[in-house]
Amino acid sequence: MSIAYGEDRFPITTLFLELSVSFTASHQPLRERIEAALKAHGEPLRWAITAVDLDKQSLRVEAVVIHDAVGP
Amino acid sequence: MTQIQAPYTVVLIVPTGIGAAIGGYAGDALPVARAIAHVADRLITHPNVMNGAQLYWPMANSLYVEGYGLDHFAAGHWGLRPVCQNRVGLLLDQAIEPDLRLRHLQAADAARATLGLQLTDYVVTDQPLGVELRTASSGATWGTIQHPGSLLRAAKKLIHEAGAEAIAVVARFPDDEDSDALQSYRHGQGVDPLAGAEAVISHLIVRTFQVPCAHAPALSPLPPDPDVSPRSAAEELGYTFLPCVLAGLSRAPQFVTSSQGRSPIETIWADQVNAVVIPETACGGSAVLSFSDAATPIITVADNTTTMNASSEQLMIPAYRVQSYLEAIGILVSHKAGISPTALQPHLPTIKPLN
Repeated sequence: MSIAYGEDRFPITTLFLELSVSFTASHQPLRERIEAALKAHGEPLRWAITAVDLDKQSLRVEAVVIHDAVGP
Repeated sequence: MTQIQAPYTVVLIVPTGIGAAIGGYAGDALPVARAIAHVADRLITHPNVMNGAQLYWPMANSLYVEGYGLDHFAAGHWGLRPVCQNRVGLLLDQAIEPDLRLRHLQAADAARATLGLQLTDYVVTDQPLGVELRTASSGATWGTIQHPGSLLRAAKKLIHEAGAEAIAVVARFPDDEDSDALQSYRHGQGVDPLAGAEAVISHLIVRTFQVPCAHAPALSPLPPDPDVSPRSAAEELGYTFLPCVLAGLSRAPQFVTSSQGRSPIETIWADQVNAVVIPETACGGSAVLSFSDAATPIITVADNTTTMNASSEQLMIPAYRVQSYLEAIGILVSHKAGISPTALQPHLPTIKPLN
């Protein structure tokens, strides 16, 4: 049997993005640096470093982030 | 022989949607998982490794952990508490047509009758989920859903009203049987076009409710193709990909958040992991970076090529770099036995003073 249900709201949207993150030496762990960069765009849901450019000291990151404050 | 050392625990990761040569298709990293589970005391891995549509292989010492949960486990935020059985709640996308919905409900009933799994009553979302597929510039597939709120409302209903302890989601994915991506995938090449969106769906539920979750896509049956690759063939066997998901979730560990403390003695935490096995070019994920920060030994496998270009060497992550999973398993056996892998090679340099 199926269940009927009410009007609970989860006002979120998901957004795909690609960005570059600096790969210079740092005391901050790399995971935290990437998540900090992603948080400028939303809450990180799923991400990965997809390429490393050692000449430019740069990482390519692809991600899906969540916006919590937008209506469904 | 009585075991007097801590259980040797291995994490096996084959990220989804990146065209992994082994594990990028229909549960085709499962033989690797079976082999590692045979030499390890505990294996922690994820649905992309374990799910072969109608095919699966239960292993008593393996823990089936969704990717978002695995990332938080690796970061030390969440622990894993093994269970005897979960009540699995089935969540169906409203966009699934009546005949296809019936096939999935019958798969659920079959799992109850034939495997003895415990399922709650099911829920249909109050809107079509609106799955959208996307391929990024790296070649990886990502994807989003138009109505994540509908997905989460349905999951909340299953958990809070039906008593579900794990969530099996079936979303209607676009049929695109003439696409080059699907044809390549069926022939054991390219990237799974559905995988990225599948991961987003399960990540949303695990992030919101901290319960085990996995996803099976609902698709119209494809016409027979004599050239289907063995690596993709498991998805040609029937009308649904749901059986493996239900079997995996039925014994998936529950998540223990840090705020709940570390008191349950049976809970497994990241600092109990002895080794991580990952494709060589896919070291840029959250879990691997967390394990690397904690100095957990990492073994990278070159044979398992992917569309990623983020190797342990490029990211300056210390690792055992091997060619094949057979070599990786050798490293695990050696490590578990307390034998340095270098001692098994012909040339062993002399000991040196510390500079």
